[in-house]
Amino acid sequence: MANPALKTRITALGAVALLSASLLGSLILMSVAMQDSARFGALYSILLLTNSAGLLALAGLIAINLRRLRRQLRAREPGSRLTLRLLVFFVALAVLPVTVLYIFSLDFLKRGIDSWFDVRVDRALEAALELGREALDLRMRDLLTQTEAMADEIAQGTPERAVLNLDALRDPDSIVVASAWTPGPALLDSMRERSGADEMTLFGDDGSLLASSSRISELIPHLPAAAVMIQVRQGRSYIGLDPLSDGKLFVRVAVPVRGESGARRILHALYPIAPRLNRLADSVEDAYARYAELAYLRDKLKLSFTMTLTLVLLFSIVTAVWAALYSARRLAAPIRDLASGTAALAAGDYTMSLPVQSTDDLGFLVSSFNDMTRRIGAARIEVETQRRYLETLLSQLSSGVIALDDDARVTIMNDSAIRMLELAPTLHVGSALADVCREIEHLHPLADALTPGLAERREQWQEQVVIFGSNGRRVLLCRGSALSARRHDARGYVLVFDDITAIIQGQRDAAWSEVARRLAHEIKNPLTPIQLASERLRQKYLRRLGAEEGEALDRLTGTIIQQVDTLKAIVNTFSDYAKTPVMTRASVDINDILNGVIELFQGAHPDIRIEARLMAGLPAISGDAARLRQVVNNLIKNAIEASPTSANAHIMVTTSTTHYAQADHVEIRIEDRGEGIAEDLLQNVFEPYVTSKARGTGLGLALVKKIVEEHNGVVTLRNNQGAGAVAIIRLPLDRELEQSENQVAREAR
Amino acid sequence: MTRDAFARRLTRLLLTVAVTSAMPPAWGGDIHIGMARDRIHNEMLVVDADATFEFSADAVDALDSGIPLTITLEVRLSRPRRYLWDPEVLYALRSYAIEHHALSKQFVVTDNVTGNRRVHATLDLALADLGRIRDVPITDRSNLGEPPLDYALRLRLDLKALPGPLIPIAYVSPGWRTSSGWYRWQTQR
Repeated sequence: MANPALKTRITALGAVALLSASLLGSLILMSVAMQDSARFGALYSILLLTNSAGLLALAGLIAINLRRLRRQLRAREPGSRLTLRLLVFFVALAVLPVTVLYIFSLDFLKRGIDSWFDVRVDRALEAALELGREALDLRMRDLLTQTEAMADEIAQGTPERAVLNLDALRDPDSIVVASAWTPGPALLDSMRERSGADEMTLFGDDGSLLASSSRISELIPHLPAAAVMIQVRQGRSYIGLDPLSDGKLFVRVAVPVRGESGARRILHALYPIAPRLNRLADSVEDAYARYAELAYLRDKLKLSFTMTLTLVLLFSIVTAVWAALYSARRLAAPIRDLASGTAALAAGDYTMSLPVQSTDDLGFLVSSFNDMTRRIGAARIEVETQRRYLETLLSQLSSGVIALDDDARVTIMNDSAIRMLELAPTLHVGSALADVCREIEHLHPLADALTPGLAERREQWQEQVVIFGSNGRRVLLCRGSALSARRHDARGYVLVFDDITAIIQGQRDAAWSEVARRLAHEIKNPLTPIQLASERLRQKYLRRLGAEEGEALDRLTGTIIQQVDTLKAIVNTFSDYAKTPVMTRASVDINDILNGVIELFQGAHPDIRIEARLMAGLPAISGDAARLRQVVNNLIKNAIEASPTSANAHIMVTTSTTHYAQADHVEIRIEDRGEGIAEDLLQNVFEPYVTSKARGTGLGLALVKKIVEEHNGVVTLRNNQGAGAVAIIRLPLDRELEQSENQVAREAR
Repeated sequence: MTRDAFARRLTRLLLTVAVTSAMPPAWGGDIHIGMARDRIHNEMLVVDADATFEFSADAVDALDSGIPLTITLEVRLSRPRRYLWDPEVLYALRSYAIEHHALSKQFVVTDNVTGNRRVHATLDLALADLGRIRDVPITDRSNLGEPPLDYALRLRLDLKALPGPLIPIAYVSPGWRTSSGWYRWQTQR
C-alpha cells in the first residue's frame, strides 16, 4: 500500500473495529452469563471488567480526539467548526434514539423481573411446601409409633451386646473397623425388615453402638447428630426428615428404649420415603428453593441486567461518538484541505496540489481547485514573463519612466529614471513619489512641478524642470499621462523624463553662434573701413584746417576711432561667447588659478585689499584651466568694479569643499563690499545684455555661467546681508580623478 | 489547590485506603481458626482444624433464601529457607457447601470431595459441624521430603461459587468478604 495516510487510517479503523467487536462479544457473553449462571457465572465479573476496560479505552480515544478538536477550534483551524457541527449532529442522531430505547428497555426489564414474582405464586409454593410437609408428617407419625413399638419390644427382650463403641466411631484418632456385628437371625434384623427401614441401630446409654442392621450393607451406619442423641437421652423422641443424598429423603427416628433395669438405650432408624412421594416432595422443594433464590436475587438481577444494559448503552454511545468523530473528520477533511489550499494560494504558492481522496462531489471540488491552481500558476508565469519583458524594454529606453499608482506611489521605475534623478535603485518602489522628491534636496523642483498635475489628475501634462544633481544642472522635460483603467478611482500615471540639457545647450550655442556670425559679418566688417576712413580724413584735413577746426576734427575723428575700437571689442566679446571651444580637460587646482588672478589684480589695484582664504589641500577638479581662469577673472573684475573707491574696499575670495545635491563640490566664493545688485536684476543677471554698469557689455556674467555649466557646475549671485554681493561657484569633483589622486597619495605614503 | 496540598491529600487518601483494606471489616463475616494441626494417619498427611464461623447478615440472608454457600479450605506447605524465598511444596484445596433445605427445615453440610452430607437442625449446629475439620487428607507422607515444613491453612467463603448475578455485588460489598486469613505453624517432624 503506497499511501501511508491510508495505511494509518485502515490500521486505526481496524484497531477500533477489533476493540468494538471484542466489546460486543463480551457483552453477548455477559448476556448469556446472565441467563445461565451455572456456565458463565465465573466469567461474569471478568467480562464486566473487560467491558468496562474496553469502554474506558474507547472513551479515552474519544477524549483524545475531542481534545484535538478543541485545540483546532481554539486555533480556528479550517474545517474545525464544520467537524464540530457534524459531530454534534451525528451524536444527537445516534444517541437520542439509543437513550430512549435504553430507558424503555430498563423499564420493561424491571417490570418483567417483577412480574416473575407474584404473591399468589409465593403463597402457592409456600402452601405446596406445607402440604408436602403435612403429607410426610402423617407418614412420619406412623413411623414414630412403629419405632416406639419396636423400642418397647426391645425393652422387653434381651438384646445381644454390641462389640462396637459409638465414641470410637466418632473419634478421629481411633481406627474404625468394620462392624463385628453380624446380621443374622437377630431381633434387630427382623425388626428392620418388618418395619421397612433401611437402617436400624441400637445405641447404649453412653452412646455405644449396641447393634445395627442395614439394608444396604453399609459398614458405617448413618449416625444421628449429637443434638439428636442429647434430645433422646433427655427422654424425648426425635423424628425428622433428612436429605441424606440428592433428591432422596429419609425419615430419621430416634426413640429411647426404657428397659426394666432402668438402663436407657436409644433405637435409631432411617426409613425411606416412597419413591413417588419422594419425587413429588423433591419437586416441591426444588421449585420452592429456586423461587426463593430468584426472589432473593431479584434486586441483584435487576442491578446486573441494568449494568449489562448500561454497558450496552455506553458501548453504543461511545461507538457512535467515535464513529461520528471519524465520519465528521473524514467529511471535513477535503474542506480543510481546500481551506489550507486557498490560504496557500493567497500566500502565493501556486504549486500546491490537494490529494483527491474520493470520486464524489467533494472529490470533484478538490479536482476543480487543483485545476484552478494550475491555471492561476500558469497565468502568473505568463504575467511574470510579460513583466520581465516590459522591464527589459524599459531598461533599454534612454527616457526615464516612472509608473505610479492611483495614490502616486511608485510601482515601476526604469534604470534611466534612476540615473537621471540620481535615486537608489529599488528603495523608492512603493513610496509616494512626492515624499521621495521632498526627502531628496535636488528633487525639490521636481516635486513642485509634479504636484499640480498629479493632484488635479490631469490626463496629459508636461513640465520642464531644472534640477541640480551630482552631475550639475539638468533640464528635464517631464511628461505625465494618466493610465486608462476600467475603474475611474483606480487610475495610475506614467511619467516620462527626458534629459534635454544638452539639447537646450546646443540650441543656445547655435543661437549665439549665429549672433556672433552676424555680428562679425554685419558689424565687424564695416568697422575697419570706418576706422580707416576716419584716420584718412584726419590725416588729410588736419593740416589744412586752422587750429580751431583742426582741433574739432581731431576730437571728432578720435571719437569715431575710439567708438569703433569699442565696437570691435564688443564684437570680439560676443565672438568669444559664441565660440564653442574644445574643452581641454585636465586636473585643475582652483587655488593655483585664484592665486594667479588675485596677484594680477592686486598689482593693478593696490588700493583694494583682496583677501584670499583658500582651503589647504583643496581637491583638484577636472576642467579647462584657461576657461576657469576667465571665470575667476570676470568675477573678480566685477567685484573690483563694484567696490567703492575708498580705502575700505575689500574683496574676499574663499575656497572650500561642500556636499551639494548628493555630490562633493569645490566651492568658490567671491565677496565684495559694494552696493550689491538691484533686486530686479538679480533674476536675470546671468542672461546676456543684463548689466548694471554704464560701460559693460552684459556678457561677462553670461560667459561665466556658460563656462561653469560647461564644467557641470552651478553659479549663483546674491546680495550679502551686510553690504555688497557674493558670487558662489560650485564645481563637482571628478570622482575618477579623485579616486586616482587618492591612489597616488596612498602610493606616495 | 497547590501541588503540595494535592500531594498531602493524595497521601492521606492512599493511607486511609491501605489501612481500611488491611483491617477486617466490622460489618462483614469472620472466620476464626482456633487450632490447626497436621498428623500422619495411615501414611497419609492429614490436617485437623477447629474454626468458628460468623457469617454476615447478607450471607445468612442468602443462605436462608436457599442459596448454597461454599467454604474453601486451603492448605499450603512450603519449605523454609533462610535467605531466599520459601519454595512451595504443596497446595491443597478442599471445599464444603452449606445450604438450607426448606422442606425439612434442615441445614445440610456437604463435603464436595467425598459427597458426604451431614444434616443439622439449626445453622449454629451446621456451622459448628463445619468448623470441626478432621482427617482431611493432604498428600502421601512420602511426598513431604525432609523437615522442617511450614504449614499455612485458610478458610474462606468462595464468592465465585455464588450465583452469577450475586458475584459482582459480593466482590464489591464488604459484607461478603469472609476469610480467616492464613493460620501458620511449623512442623519439625
